[in-house]
Amino acid sequence: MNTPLSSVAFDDQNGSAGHSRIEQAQDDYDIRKASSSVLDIIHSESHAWQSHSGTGSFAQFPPSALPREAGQAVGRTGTEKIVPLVNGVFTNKPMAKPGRTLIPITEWEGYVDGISDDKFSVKVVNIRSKSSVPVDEVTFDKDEISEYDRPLLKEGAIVRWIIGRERLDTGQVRNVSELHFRRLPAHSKEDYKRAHEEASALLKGINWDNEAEC
Amino acid sequence: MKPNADEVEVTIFGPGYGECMYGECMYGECMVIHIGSGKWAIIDSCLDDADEPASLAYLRGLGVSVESDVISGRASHWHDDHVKGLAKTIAECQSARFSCGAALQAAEFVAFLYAHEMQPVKKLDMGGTELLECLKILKASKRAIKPLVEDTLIFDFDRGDLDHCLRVEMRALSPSGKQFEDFIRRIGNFPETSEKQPKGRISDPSRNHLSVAMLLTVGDQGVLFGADLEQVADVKKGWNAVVDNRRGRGPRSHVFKVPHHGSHDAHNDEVWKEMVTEQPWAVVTP
Repeated sequence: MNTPLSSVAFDDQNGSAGHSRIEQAQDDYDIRKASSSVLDIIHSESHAWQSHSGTGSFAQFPPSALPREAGQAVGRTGTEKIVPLVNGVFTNKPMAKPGRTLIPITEWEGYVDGISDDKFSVKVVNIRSKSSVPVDEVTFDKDEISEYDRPLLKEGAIVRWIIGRERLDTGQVRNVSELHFRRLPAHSKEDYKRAHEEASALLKGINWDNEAEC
Repeated sequence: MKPNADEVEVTIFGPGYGECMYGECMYGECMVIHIGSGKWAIIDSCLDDADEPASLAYLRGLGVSVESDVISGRASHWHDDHVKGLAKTIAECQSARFSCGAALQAAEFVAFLYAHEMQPVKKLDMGGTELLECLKILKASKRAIKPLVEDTLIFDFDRGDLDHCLRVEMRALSPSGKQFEDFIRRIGNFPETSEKQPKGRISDPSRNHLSVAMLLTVGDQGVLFGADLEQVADVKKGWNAVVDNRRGRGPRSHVFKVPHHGSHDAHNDEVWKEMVTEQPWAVVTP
C-alpha cells in the first residue's frame, strides 16, 4: 500500500504556523485510530521525521507544537518523534526508513517482567491469539534496545515485538526482529481521581464478611 | 475418580504435568480440595488448554455439581498466574464463600487496579482485570467476601460434621499486619510516585508479599499452601512473620505446596524445620 506524501500543519508555541513534509514509506501495518484520550507514540529508529530544519532523524518540538484535531487530546512525553496526522486519523504505524519495507510475520504484545544486569525478560502474548494472557516468556539482551528506549526499560513497561521481513529498495531481503517500547502517557491525578471514583462505586454495597465463618 | 466421602483429597494444577496429584493447566496454578462429605474448596485459578478454569473442568469430570458442592473459593493473591479464570469460577460456584487478601477491601488498591485498566492497550490485560471482574460478580450476586490477613479463619468443621469425623480447619497465615499496612500506605501514594513515568502493566514489587499462605488442618495433620509468599529481611513480614506467629502451634504439615514456584526468594529454612514434618510431600508448580 502506497500512501501519498502528507503534510501536517501545526502551530508552534509562538502561534506561527509551519509545515513539515513527512515522507511515509509503504508497510503493512494497520492504521488504528487514536484512543479518545491519549495519543500512543511508538518510537523506533526506523521512524523518519524530517523537520523544516532537516536535521538528522529526530525532530524536537515543544509540547504545544503538536498536530491537533478537534476533540483529540495529545499525550506529551517529551522529545519523542510524533507520528503525524494522516488522512484524518492518528497513525501509530512505525514508519519505515526511506527505501525500506517491513512486512511483519509475527507480532507479540507483552510487558517487561524482570531485569538483570545485561538482560531482561518479557512476558508476551501473540496478537492473533484469542487469549490476552501472556504465557510465553522471552529473554532479550539489553543491547537489543536503543539508547533512546533504555529509560523505558522498567518492570511493567509495555512492549511490541515484531519479527518480520525487511526488503530494501536494493532488493536485499533479511529477517529482522524489532522491539518497540510503547510510550503511554503517565498516570495523571485526573486519571487517578476517576479510578478512585470507579473503585468507590464498586466497593459500595459489597458485603465484607469480617465476622462470620463458612 | 471421585474421592470417598470420608477421604480428604488435595489436587494441585500446574503447567505441563499430568502425574499423581498434579493436573494440567496451560499457565499458573490452582488447588482443588475435597474436604470430606462431598464438599470442595478451590484455591486460586488457572486455565487449561481449552481456556477453561482447570478446577471446574476437573470437578465436572468427577461428576461434582460445582454450583452446590464447592463451598469455598479463594485467591491467594492477585498475580495473574493465580487468578486467570477466577471470575468464571466464582460465577459458576454459586454456593462458594469467596475470600481473598484484605487489600481488595481498600479503595486505594481497587483504584490502583482501575487506573491500570484505563490504558489504550487492546491486547494485553493489565493485571487487574480478573480481580475487578470477581468483585463485580460478587457484588451483583450479593455474596459475602471474607478479607484475609494473618490468622483469619477461612472455614472450619467440627468433629462429626464430616464423614471422616475429623476436625477440619483452613486458616490464613499471611499477610502480616505490618505487611498489609505498608502496602496500603504505598498504594495510597500511587499517583505521586508514578508521575512522569509512562503507564505500564501492573508491576508492584510487593505483590507477592501480600500473598495469602494457608494451612489446612485435618485432625492432627496439616497441608501447608505457600502461595507466592516470599522471604524478606524484615522479621515482621513474609515467611519470618509466619514462622514467628505459628511457633508452638501445630500441627506440622505432611504436605507442603512449595511457595513461589520453588523460587529461592521464597525459601526459609525455619519453615522446613518448624512447620513441616521431617519427610513431607513437597509439591512445586513450575
